[in-house]
Amino acid sequence: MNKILIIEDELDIANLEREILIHSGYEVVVKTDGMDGYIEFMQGNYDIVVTDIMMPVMDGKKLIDLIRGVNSEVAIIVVSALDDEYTKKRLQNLGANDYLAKPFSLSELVDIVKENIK
Amino acid sequence: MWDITLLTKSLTFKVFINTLSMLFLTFVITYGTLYFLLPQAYKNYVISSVTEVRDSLLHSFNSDDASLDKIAAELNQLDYTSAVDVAIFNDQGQKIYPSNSLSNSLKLLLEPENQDNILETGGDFTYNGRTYTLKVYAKLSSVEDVKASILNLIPLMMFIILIISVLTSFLYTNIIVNPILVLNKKAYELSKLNFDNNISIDVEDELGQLSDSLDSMSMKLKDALLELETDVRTAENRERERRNYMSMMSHELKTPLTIIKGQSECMLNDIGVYKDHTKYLGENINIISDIQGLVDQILLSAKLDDIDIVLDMQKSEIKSVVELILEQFALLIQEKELSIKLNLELTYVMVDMKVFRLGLKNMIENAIKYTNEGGGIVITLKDYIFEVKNQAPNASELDFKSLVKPFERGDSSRNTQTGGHGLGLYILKRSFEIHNFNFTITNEDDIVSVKLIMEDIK
Repeated sequence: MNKILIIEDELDIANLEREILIHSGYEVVVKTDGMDGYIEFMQGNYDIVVTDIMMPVMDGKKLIDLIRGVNSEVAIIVVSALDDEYTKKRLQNLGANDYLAKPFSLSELVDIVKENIK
Repeated sequence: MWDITLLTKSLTFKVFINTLSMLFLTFVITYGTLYFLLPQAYKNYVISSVTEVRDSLLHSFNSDDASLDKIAAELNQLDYTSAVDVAIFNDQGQKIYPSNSLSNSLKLLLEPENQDNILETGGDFTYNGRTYTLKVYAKLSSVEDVKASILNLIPLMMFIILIISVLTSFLYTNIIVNPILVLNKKAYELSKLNFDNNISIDVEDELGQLSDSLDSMSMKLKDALLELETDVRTAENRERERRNYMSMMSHELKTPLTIIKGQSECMLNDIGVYKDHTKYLGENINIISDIQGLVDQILLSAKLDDIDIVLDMQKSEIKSVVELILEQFALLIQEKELSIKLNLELTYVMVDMKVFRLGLKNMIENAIKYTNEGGGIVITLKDYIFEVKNQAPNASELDFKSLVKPFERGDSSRNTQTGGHGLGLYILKRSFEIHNFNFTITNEDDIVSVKLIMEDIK
């Protein structure tokens, strides 16, 4: 079973993502800030990281930077309300594989996860 | 190395060369005119002199009171003062004057080889019944001597003319061109927007006036540029703030919309905990109400940001408004068991109460909201200063300078669990700012003090 790490400080959204991904057959772990997310990533063996950008303690950009410093294989999907071209380009440069702008459909999230697991 | 092309194009070179050419030409024309016209002028002068001497002598000799003494005196006088020679012959053709021998000059004149260069004129006069002949001579060869002298002087004169021309041109160039070069440098520095060029020219003519005008223009341009730079910076800051505002607003609206959309999808497909439709439909309704409140706040802050906002300024009493606001929160105050200490003076100010009340309400609401249960709030209105002081745990960690910006919530997450949308303090700030009232927020030892300084009605 593929393992997914969700890092999202908005609990309602984190719960929704967890429910739909568990329903789609994945093993899911949720963390609510960038620092906790990074510690969890280093301890677990994840296939995909789904992360928000604006988060307390450590934001998503720093998190992606740290993850890419130690792992270039894992797929990183960014979920954020910021959907301007500059942010997308910057995230891509940092090493994000895909981008999902809020408000997104949960089926879109499942599709993107499937694509990136391939 | 000098760049010849550049040199020949320079104003200094052009003025120097043109002045030099004009002066040299003027001197040459003057000298040439002298060479060609002076001989004829001299000849005319000689003829005129000879004729004048002849007429004068004949007139004297023919006069009724003529005497030998008088004639002799006149002839002697002539010897000293005139460039002509005179001879008198009797009716037999014998020379009677000069009596002894011919003067040296006359001898020369009368020599055959000089005959062509002699101007001779004369006339008869009668004295004591006898007729005499007066002859007046002048030497024309001196005309040629003048021409030869002028020719001989040409090399020296040309040298002198050249030296004078060069010196004059150099002085003229310095006097006229140097100020223009200074002005040119000034204008060049201005074109590069360098306004700190303090070179000045100490003349009071039109060039001096032009220099003063350039200085004045430079100062005005400098001021205008500084003003423009400030305006541009202000506009850039406003644009940055606007973009940030739009981004934050987008986030605030999109997050609850994502939750509604996601929860609806999960309910529709009976996924996980969302099978409990009643619970999550109720949650969605609450989220929609929250969005409604957010939209109201966004519209309100946009109205307060509108530079064309028209205020309905009225003389208003503040004490009663504060009391009314506290009544609105009476239930919450009671629930939280807060102790409110009031010290309110009757105070009148000129405000648009609809707008001003928003700020007052937010001040009081924040104090009530962020004070722990059983805590205390002190509200004072005295000497046109309205102050709300409350105990707020962990307040010393908050950066109130940031919190008065739109959508700022004291942490970078912007999640809904921390409460509010970050527009309350911004609306408070704007509602006071547009009345030109100052306000301060301080926090010491977890005591937050918001102080509004109003203006007395003059």
